[in-house]
Amino acid sequence: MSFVRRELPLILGGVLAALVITEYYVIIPPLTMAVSTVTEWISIIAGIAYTLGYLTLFKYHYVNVAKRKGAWYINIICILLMLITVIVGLGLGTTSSAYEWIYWNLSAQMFISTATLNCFYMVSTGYSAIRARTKEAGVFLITSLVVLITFTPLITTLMPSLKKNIGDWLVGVLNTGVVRGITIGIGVGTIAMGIRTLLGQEKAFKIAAEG
Amino acid sequence: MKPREKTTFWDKVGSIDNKYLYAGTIAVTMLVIFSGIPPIIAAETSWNIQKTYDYINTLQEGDVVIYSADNNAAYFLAHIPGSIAVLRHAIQKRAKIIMIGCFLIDGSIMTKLIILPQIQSVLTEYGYEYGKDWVMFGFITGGEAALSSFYGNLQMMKTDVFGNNIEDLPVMKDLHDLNDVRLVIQGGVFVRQQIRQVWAAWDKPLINVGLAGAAAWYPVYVQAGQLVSFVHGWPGGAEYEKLLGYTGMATMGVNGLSVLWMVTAVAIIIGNIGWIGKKLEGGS
Repeated sequence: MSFVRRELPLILGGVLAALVITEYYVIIPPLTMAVSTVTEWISIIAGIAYTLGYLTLFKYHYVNVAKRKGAWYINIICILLMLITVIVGLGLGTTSSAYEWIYWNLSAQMFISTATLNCFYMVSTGYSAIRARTKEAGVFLITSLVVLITFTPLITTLMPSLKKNIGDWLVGVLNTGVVRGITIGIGVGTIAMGIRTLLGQEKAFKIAAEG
Repeated sequence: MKPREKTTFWDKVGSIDNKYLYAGTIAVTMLVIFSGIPPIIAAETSWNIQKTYDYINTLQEGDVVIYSADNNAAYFLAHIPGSIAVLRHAIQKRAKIIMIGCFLIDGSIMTKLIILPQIQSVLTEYGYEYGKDWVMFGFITGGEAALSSFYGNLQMMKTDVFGNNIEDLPVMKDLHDLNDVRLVIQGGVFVRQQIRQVWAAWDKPLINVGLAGAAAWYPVYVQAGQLVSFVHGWPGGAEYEKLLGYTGMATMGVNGLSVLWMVTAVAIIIGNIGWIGKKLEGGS
């Protein structure tokens, strides 16, 4: 069992990763075809993962209802909505007007409302958190204010040179250098994380393997 | 018993209750939106919008453009007006359009519900026929791996989002992989993934329609040649609509956006005035 949980996934992952990485650098037609087929499988596996996620969420809500845990009546609403959406989607299709109605009038409106709250949080967080408590915070404050003001459409209409000479320079020159460094750092970190995952050294994998 | 500390003017300025900030934000924004002030868009077009416009202008009739809808309902106002403007321009150049989505399920539904009605007039005006000049494949599960598969084999999807077989779609007839595509446009924030699959793997041009805030990241990729250009969210969409000469969603909301940004800037300034005033008074 330990081999199936630990070594087998590592071997599979390692072999497939080696194939995909090799294919990127070396053009061998049979290898390219094999990798192309493998990447198509990922679409199928992703679909299965979505289904698994759905079933896990369903189980969570169901257990809460069964045990009358917390606000379990909200879990009933969740279960009902999940079932209705899946039945309508599978039965009538995701391009049907019924499915689109459910998406637009329920899901989308909740997303939009939640995102709209961000504008208020932006104002209150800007007011209370962005304060020049230190020299570095002061530099951050001044730079962010300048970029915010110079990129506002109203200000760029009234004073176009402000954006051209200051805003664009801050974003295009100063900021770009910093972002380059961060992006390289992200890339290096991603490679390190990938190697750790393939070698089975990642904590999440170890916990899963030990059961 | 400790005597109550006297609240100074600077204390009051530096600790305004959130409800007053929210009420002020709503009041000022509503005032501007309902005042009837015409949309105020930047007089000079931003360099990235001009670059995007100039590149789309080089499209020839019959060039294939893939539009990847990777936005969601929460941020659709950021991506969609710009996407609509860019797609309208591509249709005016008579490019063939293939619409997909790989990262967010919402993308394809939002495309059908919001983008399609907005570009329908242009599709009709230029005599576009579904299946012959444009096609929608909807959401392809699998994220970047699905993107990689699709770009490597454009015949991968056997049916479109409406259930039509790919053999019945003339626009897909001679398309095999991304070598047959002229340009990829992404409406979303998955720039790095698209750069890996479009530029790094196939050396093809990519244009991104992203959030205004994320525009701080995009110049890096433009300077490196990995991204042709980008449309920075809502204000970028408004500038693009101005270049195309029509009033769209972005133009209609640009005044509200300006006001909101200015309110945020004023809130930051007031907060700091209160804090600095209190500091100078000798408080903590």
